[in-house]
Amino acid sequence: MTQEVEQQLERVLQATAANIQPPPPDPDAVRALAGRPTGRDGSRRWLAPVAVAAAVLVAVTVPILVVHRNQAHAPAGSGGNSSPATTQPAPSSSTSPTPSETGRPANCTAAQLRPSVLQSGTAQGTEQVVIGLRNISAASCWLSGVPTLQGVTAAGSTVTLAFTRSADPAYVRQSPVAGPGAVSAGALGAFRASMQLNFCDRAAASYARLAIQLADGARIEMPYPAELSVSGCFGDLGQAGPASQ
Amino acid sequence: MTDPRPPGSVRPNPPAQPATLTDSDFDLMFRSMWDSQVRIAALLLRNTAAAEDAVQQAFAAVYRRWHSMRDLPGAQAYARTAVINATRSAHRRELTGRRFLNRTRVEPVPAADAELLQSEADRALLAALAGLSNSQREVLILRYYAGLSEIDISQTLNMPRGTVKSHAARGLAALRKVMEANR
Repeated sequence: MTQEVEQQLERVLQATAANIQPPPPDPDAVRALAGRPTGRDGSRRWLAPVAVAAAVLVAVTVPILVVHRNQAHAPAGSGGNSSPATTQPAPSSSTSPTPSETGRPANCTAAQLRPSVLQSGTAQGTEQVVIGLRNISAASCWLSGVPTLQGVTAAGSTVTLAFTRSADPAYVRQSPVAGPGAVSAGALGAFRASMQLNFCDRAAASYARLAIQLADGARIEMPYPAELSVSGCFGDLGQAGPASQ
Repeated sequence: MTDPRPPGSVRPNPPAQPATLTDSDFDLMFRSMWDSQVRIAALLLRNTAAAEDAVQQAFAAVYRRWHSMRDLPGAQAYARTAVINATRSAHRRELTGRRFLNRTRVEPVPAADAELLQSEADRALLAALAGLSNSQREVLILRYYAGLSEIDISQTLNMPRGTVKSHAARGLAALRKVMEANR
């Protein structure tokens, strides 16, 4: 009887599979998905022209900027073709204003923020999760820095989750998180976290709550999101900031 | 300077630097594996569109490590495992979506002639296969559709050979019960 089951299973699987007609394979689409340029063998041939273009850009723009700056700061009547005034001190007005000078609000406190899962989805073998932090107070507050995430078990013990705190602008500045800034009253702040899905052989641990410790120490808790339980492999964690809506 | 080697010994060739795989190798492997891997993923997920996505994701992950790979058989084995992992991820996402986002599952639409092509017994067998545990289903599909040996299944699923055997035996036993009930 076992042999009969095996034969029938093999026949049914082959027949079912024969009815599945995949579209033609497209390796270029896979490369695009992988985030690498389409290329021939030794796919970093794009590097040389990019490097040359960057060098030319720097070589052209730096002298222009230096000359422009010297002309702007040169005393009246000294002419535009004076030698580069490298010894002239930069005027104080050219320095960037600090946040406090621009009326930066105080850092967000735990009582001002209500956390929730804003977005989730899969990309390139990872589960991407955006945790939203809505400012429920009547005042703007400042949100910045990479938070620390902790799993809180039902018994109350706390485990710091092993995310990689990413400073890579390509990661931390992904939509909808716009980097550090003020979150207006009623508006959303957010930060991004990812879980590795492919090549992960660790089972997800079970937590009751997620504790979010902001960079300045404010601590907020929320029910542990299911999206962070899809695997046991923690990925990147980006900085918090106001979110575009 | 004297040669320290004994007389008559052959000078060994310098160790050959293993060549990395090229993009052409990737194209070749991807094209040769695409159909079979989509079909395996579709049998596991029962959804062809999700299967195509999963296989693309898996090969994208393979491509990200492609230029550090040394041999094609190893890369093929790696790709097979990546496809299984991607289908597991797709399956988990579907479960998560159904449980937490309150979404309705998009069922695959069968072909118009599917009813004619399958007997009642075949349909019952496929339904029983879908009801097995993920591991049992993976083992049976890799064994009876892909034709992999126990040792290849063991490597692909990253599980001991004994576990592969027990999953196969239990899965087949469950299917046998269904077949007997349908007689």
